[in-house]
Amino acid sequence: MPSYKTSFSKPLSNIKTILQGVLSLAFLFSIVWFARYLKLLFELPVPAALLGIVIFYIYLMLCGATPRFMANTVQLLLKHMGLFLIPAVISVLAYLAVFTDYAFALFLAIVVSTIISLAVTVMVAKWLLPND
Amino acid sequence: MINDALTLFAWLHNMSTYELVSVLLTSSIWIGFTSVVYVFARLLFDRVKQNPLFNPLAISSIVICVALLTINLQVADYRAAVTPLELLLGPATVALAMPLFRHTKVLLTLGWRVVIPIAVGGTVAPLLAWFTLYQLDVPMDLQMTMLVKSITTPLAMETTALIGGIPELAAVFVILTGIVGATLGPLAFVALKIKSEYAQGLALGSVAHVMGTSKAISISEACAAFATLALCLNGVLTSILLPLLFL
Repeated sequence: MPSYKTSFSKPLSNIKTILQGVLSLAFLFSIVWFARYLKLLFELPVPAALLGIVIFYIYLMLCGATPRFMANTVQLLLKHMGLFLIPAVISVLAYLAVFTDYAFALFLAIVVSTIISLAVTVMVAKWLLPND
Repeated sequence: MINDALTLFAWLHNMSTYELVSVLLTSSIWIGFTSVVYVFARLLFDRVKQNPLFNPLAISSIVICVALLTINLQVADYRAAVTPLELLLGPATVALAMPLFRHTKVLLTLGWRVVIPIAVGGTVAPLLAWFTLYQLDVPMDLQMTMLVKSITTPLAMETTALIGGIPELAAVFVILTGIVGATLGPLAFVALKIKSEYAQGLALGSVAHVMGTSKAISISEACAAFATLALCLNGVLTSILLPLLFL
């Protein structure tokens, strides 16, 4: 497993880790921007984020495996995805007023129906999939 | 993107040094605060043996909300200050291709057995939510907005505009659905005694989009791969099918 422990006894390897991080981030950001550009250019109906996943997937396929210099950064980004989602969740605060009018209906539609849908989906999946 | 960079550059140039320093300082303080809260939420999550109710994303959002309300800071100001954090969501989403790539073999062998649950999740979730609102006589634009609740935010906003909903509200519904799915979903799995990580991943990804997927990452890499596939397929299918149904 890749780890992000910094060791002060090995300054050179620290610099290497940081450089790898910067490089991988730059690489991933350029995929994001390239995906946005493609979407605008061809007026594609799919969102740029999904296009980005496809582009990176194709890149991985061409490489045959995750390039070693990116492994750490990719793991770190995935592990802490929650942190990057916080601003979006906070922005919900600004719309709380809508919820006072139809509080009960929206509660049912968002909370109860989401739980039921998850339950139905997971049952169907379990029924179709072999045991893993 | 180049336009964004130029505007940013011009804007930074028009500011006095004092303003520039204060903007950068506010930004660092809020990013720092958010990260510290997140780290503590994760530590708490490990302390309670990863009880899904203590989802780090939910806990840290609540703490930050309380902080913002206490000091009376506008949500828009907070959001502007933590923009760099939000920008990182781009590369993090792209990084989802890695678990997907590593589990390609399993996914291909399972084939339609994977696609059907995704289609079920992607159909049942919006229809059930819409039906609830329809039965309770909620205004039409709210009903339409609810139909996009299970797909990722940018896509949901574009699609809802096409079918006559309210884009900003679509983002709110999507996010709330994600939070509910990520925190309460795992409890439903326990109640139903479903241990299959593949099945859990498919449900989380198709019903609770990227937030469900971020929960799936903490379950296992295979779970993350299934969730990512569900997220992608459901996003593409809903955004293509919904406008066709209503136009």
